[in-house]
Amino acid sequence: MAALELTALCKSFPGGMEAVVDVDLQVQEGEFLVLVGPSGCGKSTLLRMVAGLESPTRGEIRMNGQKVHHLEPKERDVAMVFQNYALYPHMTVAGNIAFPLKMARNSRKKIRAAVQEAAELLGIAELLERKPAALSGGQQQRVALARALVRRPRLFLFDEPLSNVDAKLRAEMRAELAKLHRETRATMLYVTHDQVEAMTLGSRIAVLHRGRLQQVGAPTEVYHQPANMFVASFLGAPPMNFLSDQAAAALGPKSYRQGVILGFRPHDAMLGGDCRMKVHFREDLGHESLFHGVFEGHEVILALPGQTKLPSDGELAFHLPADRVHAFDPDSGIRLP
Amino acid sequence: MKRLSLFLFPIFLLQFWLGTAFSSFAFATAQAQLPATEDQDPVVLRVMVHERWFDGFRYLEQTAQEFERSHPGVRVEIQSSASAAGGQDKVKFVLAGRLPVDVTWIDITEFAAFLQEDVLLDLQEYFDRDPNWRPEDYFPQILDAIRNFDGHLYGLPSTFTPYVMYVNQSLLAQEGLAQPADDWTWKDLKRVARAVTRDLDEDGEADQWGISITQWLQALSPWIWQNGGRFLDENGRCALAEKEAIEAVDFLVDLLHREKLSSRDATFEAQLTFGAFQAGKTAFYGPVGYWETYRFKDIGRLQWDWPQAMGWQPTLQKGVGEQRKWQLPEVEGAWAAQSYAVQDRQALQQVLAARLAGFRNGRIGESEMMQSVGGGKHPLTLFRQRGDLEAADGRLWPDWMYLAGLLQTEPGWVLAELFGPGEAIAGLESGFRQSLAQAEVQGFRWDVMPLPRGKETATAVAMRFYVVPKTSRHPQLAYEFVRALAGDTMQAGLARIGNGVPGLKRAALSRDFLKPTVPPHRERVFLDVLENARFMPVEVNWREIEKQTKAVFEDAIRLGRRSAEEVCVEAAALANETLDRERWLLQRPPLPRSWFLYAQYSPAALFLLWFLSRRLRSKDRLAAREERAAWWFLTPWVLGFLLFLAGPALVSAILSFSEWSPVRDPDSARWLAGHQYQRLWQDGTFHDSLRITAYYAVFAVPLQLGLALLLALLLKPRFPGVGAFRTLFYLPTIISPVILGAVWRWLFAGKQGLEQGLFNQLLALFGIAGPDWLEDPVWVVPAFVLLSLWSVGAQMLVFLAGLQGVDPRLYEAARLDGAGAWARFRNVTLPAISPLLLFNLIMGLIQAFQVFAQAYVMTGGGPGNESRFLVLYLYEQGFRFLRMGYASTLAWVLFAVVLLLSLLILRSSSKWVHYAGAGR
Repeated sequence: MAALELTALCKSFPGGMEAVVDVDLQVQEGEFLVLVGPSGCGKSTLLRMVAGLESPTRGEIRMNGQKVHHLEPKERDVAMVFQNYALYPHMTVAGNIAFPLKMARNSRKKIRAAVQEAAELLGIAELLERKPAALSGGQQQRVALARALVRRPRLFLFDEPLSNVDAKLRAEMRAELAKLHRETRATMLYVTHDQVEAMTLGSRIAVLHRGRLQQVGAPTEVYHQPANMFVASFLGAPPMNFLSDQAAAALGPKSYRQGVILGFRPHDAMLGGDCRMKVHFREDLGHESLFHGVFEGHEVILALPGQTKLPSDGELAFHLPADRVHAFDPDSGIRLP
Repeated sequence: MKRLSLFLFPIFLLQFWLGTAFSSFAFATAQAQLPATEDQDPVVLRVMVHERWFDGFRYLEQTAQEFERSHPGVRVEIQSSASAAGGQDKVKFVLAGRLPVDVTWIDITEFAAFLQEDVLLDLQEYFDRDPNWRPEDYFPQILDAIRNFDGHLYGLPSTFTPYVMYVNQSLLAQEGLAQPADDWTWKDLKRVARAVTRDLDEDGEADQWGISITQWLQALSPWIWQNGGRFLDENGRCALAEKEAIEAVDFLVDLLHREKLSSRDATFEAQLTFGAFQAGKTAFYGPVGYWETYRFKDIGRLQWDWPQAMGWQPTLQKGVGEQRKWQLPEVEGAWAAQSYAVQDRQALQQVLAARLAGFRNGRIGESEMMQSVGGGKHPLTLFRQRGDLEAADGRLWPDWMYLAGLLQTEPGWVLAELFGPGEAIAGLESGFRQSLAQAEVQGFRWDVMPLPRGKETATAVAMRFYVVPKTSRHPQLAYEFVRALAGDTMQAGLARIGNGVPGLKRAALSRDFLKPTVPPHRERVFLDVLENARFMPVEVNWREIEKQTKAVFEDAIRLGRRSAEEVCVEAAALANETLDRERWLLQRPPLPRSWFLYAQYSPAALFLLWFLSRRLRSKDRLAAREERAAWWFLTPWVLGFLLFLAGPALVSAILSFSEWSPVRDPDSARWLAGHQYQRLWQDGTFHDSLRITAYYAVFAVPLQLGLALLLALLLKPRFPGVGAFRTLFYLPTIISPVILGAVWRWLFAGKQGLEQGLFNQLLALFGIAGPDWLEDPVWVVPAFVLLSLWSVGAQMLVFLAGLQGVDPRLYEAARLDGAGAWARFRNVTLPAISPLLLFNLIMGLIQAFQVFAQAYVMTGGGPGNESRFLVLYLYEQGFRFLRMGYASTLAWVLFAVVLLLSLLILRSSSKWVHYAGAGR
């Protein structure tokens, strides 16, 4: 039995905006599922429906097999971490963490112990008497996590929790979250628009676009076998290069159906070979260099090792392993086998 | 905390301003000595009087025009003082502000105060020089009242009125009683009152009374005098505690509360509203003056049979001024009805037609026509304007209704004006009178009669008279204009509009005043009782004594909760205290004028010193330049603050240790050291006002906060029409408190007003007998609290803005954390808006301590002192009694109280106010 099961879930807002369309999704017990997609794809709405902050227009939400539509947020046994942390500004850190337990009318002793435990787990035990405004962004984030954690809920919901912290801290927090998941084995549903978070954190990734679920799978699966052109272009930086089928011959012996769109990832290109790309400019990132140019009439980007030298004629020779070239249906965008 | 303190600072200053502005502004202007020159061209004579403004203005204007004609190069500028007590305040404002007024008018009860304050010009020498001055043209008793102790005359009367008794002849007839003879006694009054008083609807309370006894001090005085009592003894001590006075007061208490023969609605404040006498519920009304005829004279017509015969719908408009109007459905009907009333249609038509023909043929000039009807909105003027003369053939008179309306109110006068005196008119008029008499037999006949006699015969006199302030720049012209105001044109006009008895004898004896066709039919009574008329004592600040004794007497007369003896003894003690203080004041050393100057300018001087010393320190050129620019921008505010706030505040601080009349020069201030503050301990009125202000604040402030927050919570969600609701709830905030007060006085009306107000009507729906809100000492403050709840829109708006600013994620987080609606309100909403709660709390507190206009309009501080809020008392001291020193003392006490409370709240706020972004 799945910890969370969404069936044909739809949400449309007044005015006809369809935020979520026919989403079927299962989150297993102890799983860390990342819901990823560009801004406005409906991922937050989905999360809020699970939390009980929005009600679905159609479809079902089940937790451990039970329908939860009629349940208030507090009755669903879920905890949520918000993008802006949503800490109660007038309460101390301890007060914030204790709040859900207080609302559940736990004994004072039990609350103190639980708060202490959660604070220690997140390394904020020495901040307990401070007010949120006196904390750094990372510390606030930890308090928000502790507040979610302290209740030991069935399901954790994260709504882009790391988008307000700087890059360095984000990397740190990512590791922290992964560790937290390992230690607690809690079921987590994590919403982000950041593909790095998605790739690094998720046991599985669910890609959402325009309210529709595009693909669900393990990170490597989604990266290497994207279900369609959207997933292919959304995951990976720089994004996948797309070519028309006229370029097929230049890529190698393999033949493709008439009219398909071909794609390859910049990182799959290897130096040397029969393919020739006219380079317009390069970006050196140190460990690799990004070459921007034209290949068979298409703008493409190649990611090659950092020290790669550009021949004097400005033409770069490269090749692609045959299994790294994907073909997509030109109409539906679906990847062809 | 810091941020809020900064924000509150200007508010404290505003609070401060209120207290000090009264005194200091007057002081500041007092320093501007205006030169008395006569070299202006053209000369402008500024006149500030009132005289029943809308009706009287045309006579004022006419008098002014005549004056301008006879005095070329002079322009007369007429300004209105307001009427009643407020008008006397306005005159004082003007005098205190040293505004150049050449002629104004004062009440006789203020005369002594004005004399002592030395603000009036002694006109005796002008009278002596005037060859046309004939004192015998005026009533001698009246002139004598306007003389000082040396017999110098200070002005001339506008109108006066002895106090008389109004009688409802219809009610007496209905009860089978004869109207008592003019020499009736207290016993007769009681006897008739007993016979009339009845409980018609058998609810256990009388609803038809013998009398409506008027209850203010001047109305009380005839009873005291008639019983052989007096206000002052030969040593100038208050004699109200003497047996005769106590007996007189007890007689009234007996009528009102023991035997319950009198309705209790005839208070000073209720004069302008619909009373028991107008409703035909009492046989007598008084003692009261001539002014009441103005609102009573239409009563009888309500039941004339001819309007009903014509199918007219009488409409009754009640409220301030109490007007009854006929709606004339169509012109021909009006004509027919009027003809019926006059009973000689042909004669009227003929005379009128001849008159109009004369006008058409140019035999009567336009101005003559205008003059003959007194100008204004007269039918004939309208005829002329509309070119409808041709249509005036007797069949259809387009504007006949105007004439008809005029005929209704002043038939004798209109007929005389239109047709001139003569035999034909006498016939017409008698016909008219016949029909009038016929109608009145079936309706409401009333008249006036002398007051009943006690051991002596006496009555009181109210009077206004024209004076020349010392600030007049043209004293000779001003004197001459006073003569004109007391002359034929003006006095005849005053007689017509019925302000009172004209001071000019021949006007009082003319038909203009006696108006034989209009009730009261016996205007002569007002002249006859004059020989027994007495004036209130000529004592400094009699107004204050009046107020004090009124408040005390109300305990017995209005509320019936203390005995006559108790209140008389207390009133005498209070009056003696005031008399003593006023005499003692004169012996106090003067306060050097320089002190005021130092106080006024020292803040500015100190600032300048500080500023100059500070400038020396700046080094960095760029910083210095920026600072200089900043000071330039700040200059207007700094100057304004130092000169108009800090300086006057210091002046008022000094004033609070001294006494000074705002209508006098600063030189006249006297140093009292700490006496004013010591007086606070003994001043019962101050204790009362502090108590009721605190009582009000304790309830009004929290209830306002709660209601405002509740409304904000209700109106926060967006739903269709929410904008309209927000506007509606905010709207009362922008309405002037004076208008609020006037409207709410009707809403609060209780049984004494005969008609229940809206509140009591609503309560009655639930079977609750509502209290007499504004008359009941228990309910008067709660009534003000209720009123304050109507104006919570501003606080609501502040809360609403705060609520919009609360992060919605916090509510969602709380919902997920298991918080219900109350827990969310408690843990998210309240902390988030706590700074606004603090703001509204302190603002509300300040406002609660500054209640003034509502009380001024609705209750005037009564009953007793039960609604004499602190600021109202402060105002009375400062401007009604001209005791700016004590008013300043009160202002500083008020300031201290509000400051202390605000500081306490601010101190406590660190525990319950949370600022977003504050770390610890």
